[in-house]
Amino acid sequence: MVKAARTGLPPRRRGLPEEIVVWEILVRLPPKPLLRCRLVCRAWRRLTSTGDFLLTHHRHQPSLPLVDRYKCNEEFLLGIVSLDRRAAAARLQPVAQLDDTCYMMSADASCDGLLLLSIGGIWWFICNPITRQFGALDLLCGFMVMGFYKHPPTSDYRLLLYRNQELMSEHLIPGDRNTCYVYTLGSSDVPRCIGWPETSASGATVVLHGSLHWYQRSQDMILVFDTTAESFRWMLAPSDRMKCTLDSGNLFDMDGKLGMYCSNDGCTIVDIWVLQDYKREIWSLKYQVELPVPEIRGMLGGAYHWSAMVLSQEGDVLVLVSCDRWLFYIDTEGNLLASFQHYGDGLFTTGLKLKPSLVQHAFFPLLDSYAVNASPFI
Amino acid sequence: MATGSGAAAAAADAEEKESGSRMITLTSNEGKAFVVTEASARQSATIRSMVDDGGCVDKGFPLPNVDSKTLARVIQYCDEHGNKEAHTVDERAALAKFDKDFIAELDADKAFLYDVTMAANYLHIQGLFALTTQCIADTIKGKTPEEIRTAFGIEYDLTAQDEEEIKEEDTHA
Repeated sequence: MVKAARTGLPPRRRGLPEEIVVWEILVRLPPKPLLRCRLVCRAWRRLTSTGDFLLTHHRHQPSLPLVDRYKCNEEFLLGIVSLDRRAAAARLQPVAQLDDTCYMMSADASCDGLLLLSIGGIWWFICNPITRQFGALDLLCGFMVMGFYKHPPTSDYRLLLYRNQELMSEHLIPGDRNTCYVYTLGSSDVPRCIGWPETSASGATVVLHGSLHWYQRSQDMILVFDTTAESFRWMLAPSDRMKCTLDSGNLFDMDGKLGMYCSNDGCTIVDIWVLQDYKREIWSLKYQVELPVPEIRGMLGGAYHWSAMVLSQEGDVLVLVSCDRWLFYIDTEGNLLASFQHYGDGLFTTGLKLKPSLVQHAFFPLLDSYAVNASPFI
Repeated sequence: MATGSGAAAAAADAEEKESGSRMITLTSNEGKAFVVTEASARQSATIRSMVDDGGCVDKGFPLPNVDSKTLARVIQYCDEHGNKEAHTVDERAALAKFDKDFIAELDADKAFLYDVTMAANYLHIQGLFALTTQCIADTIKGKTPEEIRTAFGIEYDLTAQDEEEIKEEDTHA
């Protein structure tokens, strides 16, 4: 809250101090209405354009599940879905539409409002769908990307890579195969080998305690990457779990704690675990959610296969079930809170979340084929 | 279904109920006294720290920045959030329903909404402050720059060149 308001002076009648308006109210606006506010007056334009303000604005933005839809030879659509509990409604908000140059595009990682996109998991791109900046990472063609993070000591944005096949720039990048590399966005240095040949990891990562976390099904362990030391270690996964189906067993950020969920065959029950004690690696079963199967089937108009992801929003843990054109929000007691039907092509939950950002990054103009507000954006 | 709450949490609850039984007097800038439960008053971080610093609970707390009408409304919020539990889904839904009705009523009188916002800021009542500032933000969301200027009493001081630049910067326009 605004400290200056504690000076003891009575508040001005019929108005709010500029500090509260800018730092407590405008920071809560979604990006588009905020940009429109710059047309109100000079002071608002100046105050809402500083780096500090944009960073605070980014911190106030909700982190929402990202969905995508790929339409053959036409476009690639990215959107975020949200649940308005007060209105008991689920909404889809498109964030970017990319043209047919993005053939077979997918969203693979997300960090501070930036998205890592790829074509076939081989060609890599960075985009901010809100500022409509886009750039390619030609040097990384052929690497597999394990994670996308901010390196705390330098504030650089980095990619954690795994080299398991011949690269496009094989001769330029020294080091072995079947091992990990790190690459700093915007840097002219080639990816640097950091070792750890044991395993690669992919899928959604959770950033907590300055580390990236993945659930590794093959080892039934949690792989942890310390983003400061840039080193790996293993952590225990919850034991005594019901047998996870192949597409389940994922981590999520449960209000600052590491959560893990898995579902049974047919995805009718979702178990949600929480890591109560991060240092001692003590997990506990927090919820066992029985999905409202008859209700879901009724709305789908038949028996379909669906997938579930678990997320935490404003302190509530929610299960997001997606099936073809439908999305369902379910609470931890198995109540259907809201559903959403998308007309047209099916939507896919990417497993990623996007926290919209208008923050400007110095690395962007240094990327290959850098463009802003131009193709591939439609 | 939620599992496990633990003895420590139960003890903390018991302690909170204990302290919650004390009464605290808050006095508006018009000299009007409001007697509230301590649990209710503790919604305000400002009052909470004064109480915890050992103090003047018996003498009460004069609030020179808050008028009676505003204070009564602020206390209505604190009573609800200070004295009701929010552990189960139903309890949280009941509080959310209270917030929804509370803010809808406030939103109808903008000057009063601003007064409650200022009081929530002064008293550091985080939940209430977030509720009112979000409400004002939601109002701004659907307004044109001209409507926002009128709502906030702001004078138009942009040049044609400024407008041009801003529109160019805005890749969504």
